[in-house]
Amino acid sequence: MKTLIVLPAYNEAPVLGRTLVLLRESTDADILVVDDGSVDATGRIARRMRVGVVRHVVNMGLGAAIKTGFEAAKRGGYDVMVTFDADGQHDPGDIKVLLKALRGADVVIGARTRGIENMPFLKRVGNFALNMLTGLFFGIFSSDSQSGLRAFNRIAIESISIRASKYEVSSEILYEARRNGLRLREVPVEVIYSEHSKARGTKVSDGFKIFWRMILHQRC
Amino acid sequence: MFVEVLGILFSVFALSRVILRFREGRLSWGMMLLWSIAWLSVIAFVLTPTSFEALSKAIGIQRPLDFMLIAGVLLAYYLTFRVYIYLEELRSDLGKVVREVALEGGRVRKKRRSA
Repeated sequence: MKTLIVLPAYNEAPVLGRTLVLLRESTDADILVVDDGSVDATGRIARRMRVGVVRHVVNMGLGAAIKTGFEAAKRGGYDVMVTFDADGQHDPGDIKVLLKALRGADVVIGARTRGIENMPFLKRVGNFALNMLTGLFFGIFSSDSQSGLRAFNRIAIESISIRASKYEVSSEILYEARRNGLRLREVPVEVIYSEHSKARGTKVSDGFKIFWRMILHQRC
Repeated sequence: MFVEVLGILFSVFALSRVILRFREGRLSWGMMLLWSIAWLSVIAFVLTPTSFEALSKAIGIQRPLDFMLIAGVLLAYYLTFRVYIYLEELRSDLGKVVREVALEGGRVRKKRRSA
């Protein structure tokens, strides 16, 4: 099974090297770093690690980076695509769990339930609110709609169409899964919070922006 | 009197910009028409404030000045919406260009598997 692991990365130089080393140790899959216009050494570190790198010449946002990952998976004829946050908050060992679950599904979400006590309180509240809003707007209730660890099979890679360019992409992926009648599953995964990853990801202000864009677009 | 003169001068100036931009091909027919009607309406209202009385009363607004203010606010909202849509289109187009450049320039490295 030809698998591509996509890491959207924006200014992740302090942690990217370690994330890639851990990924290399746990999987044989091809790795692609989508450097989303970073102004630090993200791209250089990724190239030094001898993984695939594509670079957005300007910062376009998480949604645009994931869309580039989908496009690369389509063009490369991959059977499976996994999205994996570059900030090191996921356990690479969980990829196997996702791939196993993908045998009975088209899209698998890694719900960050293990180690959630380490997640900052505000992030937990924000995630809960966004889970509820995603459910209300799109009719899909997920226990972790904003998780960056997801797996897609070929059907999902071909049918999911992303319009969102920023963090609202996470909710849009769920919407797209429903719109295309894809089988969606969730599996519990571990979340590892470092000082770096605590400072990254969806902030409260992003939560408001996501909510606003859900209203404007009625999809994302 | 001063306010009226200022209003007319500004509207004429704005109208001249509309025609100029249209001649340069930077304004579509529809937008040229919309802006011309808007600025001509302002001139007409400044010259003959009662000219809009019948229209404003017909839609339930007693004073023509209120009618002009409401119409102005609605037009501003509409134009904000147009700008928003335009920006979204630009963002989408920019995303396509950036993605294409990225994918043409980058490649996926296959991990060497040991025998």
